[in-house]
Amino acid sequence: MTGIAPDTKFSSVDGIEVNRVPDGAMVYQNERERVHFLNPTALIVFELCGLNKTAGEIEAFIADAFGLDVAPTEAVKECLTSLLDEGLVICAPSSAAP
Amino acid sequence: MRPIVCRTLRREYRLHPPSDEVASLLRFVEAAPELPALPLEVLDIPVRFRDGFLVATMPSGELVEGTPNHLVSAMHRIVLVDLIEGERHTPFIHGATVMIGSRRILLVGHKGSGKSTLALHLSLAGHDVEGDEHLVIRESEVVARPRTLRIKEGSLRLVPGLPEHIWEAPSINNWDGSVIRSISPTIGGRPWVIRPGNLDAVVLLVANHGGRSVARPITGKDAFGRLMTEVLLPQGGVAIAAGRLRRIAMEVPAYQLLLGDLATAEWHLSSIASQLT
Repeated sequence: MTGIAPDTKFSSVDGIEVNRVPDGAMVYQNERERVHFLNPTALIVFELCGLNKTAGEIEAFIADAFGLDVAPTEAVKECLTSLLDEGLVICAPSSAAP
Repeated sequence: MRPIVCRTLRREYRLHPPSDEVASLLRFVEAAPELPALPLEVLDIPVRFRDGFLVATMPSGELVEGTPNHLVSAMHRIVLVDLIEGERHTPFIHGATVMIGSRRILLVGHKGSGKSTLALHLSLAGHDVEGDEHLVIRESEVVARPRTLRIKEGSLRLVPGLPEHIWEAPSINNWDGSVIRSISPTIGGRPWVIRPGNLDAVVLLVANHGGRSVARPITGKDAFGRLMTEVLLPQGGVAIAAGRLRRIAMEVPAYQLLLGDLATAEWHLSSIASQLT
């Protein structure tokens, strides 16, 4: 993963509202006053970030959950990058910044 | 003198004007649909003359003083606040709600898309128009906000077969000098009734003035994106409100209607309603 090391840990951000919908979740950021839609896979990644999982652990979880033969390295990285860019998650303090 | 009745989804405001002349000016805010499923609290608003202006004593005790137009603006503010306070954590979609047969169809469009003009045409064609401003998206049902059709006189002239008495509908002068009429959905001879219930279809209007009306289905994802531009989200519980909107977009059939001639638009809406299972 370029930019995001496999041992990078993530955590959730305060002031985020999450509401599940049949095809994912609506997420609202109070601070930025923005509404986001997360599809089911992005929601899993988002929730794993909230559990302080590392990028590698998230990738392994997604691969296992979807029965993938090839690790979804790029897809997970892209998702994590989007979540970071949008300020929905942050790198955990003990983790190296991307 | 009969009061001017302005209903919200939980209250009935009754303005008591001091003269017939003032009544005719304030009647622009009148909205008196039947709301069978909704018990209403009645609140009186006495209006009197003072030094050439009007003074209205609002239910909160606040005095609103000024011209009739100022009082009309104050009433608009009060009923909107009433709606928001009575429906917390609830999104409101800007649109007209029309019953085509037994199907509730929401017409959504930007300002100038022809939404109100189409609603008027549908009313005159014998369909039941429930509201022309907001649809309240509750957890398991929707309900139209009671409000009359507000149509500029220039647009009115585009609707064929207007009854003569439409020109007697209450009006105000807009900031640009144009006249806006407040037209009750009873104009077509049908009672104005608002009931909470299911939403059966969403129709997103795109202006095609002077052209022919054309409809096509669109995806829920596309509908959601467009609805997000026409929604009033609450101050709190935004994710919940947005979630309700998402459910509507993904579960309710959605269409785009290029709105040109009104007769063809009505045909498309009837066709959509008849195809709904």
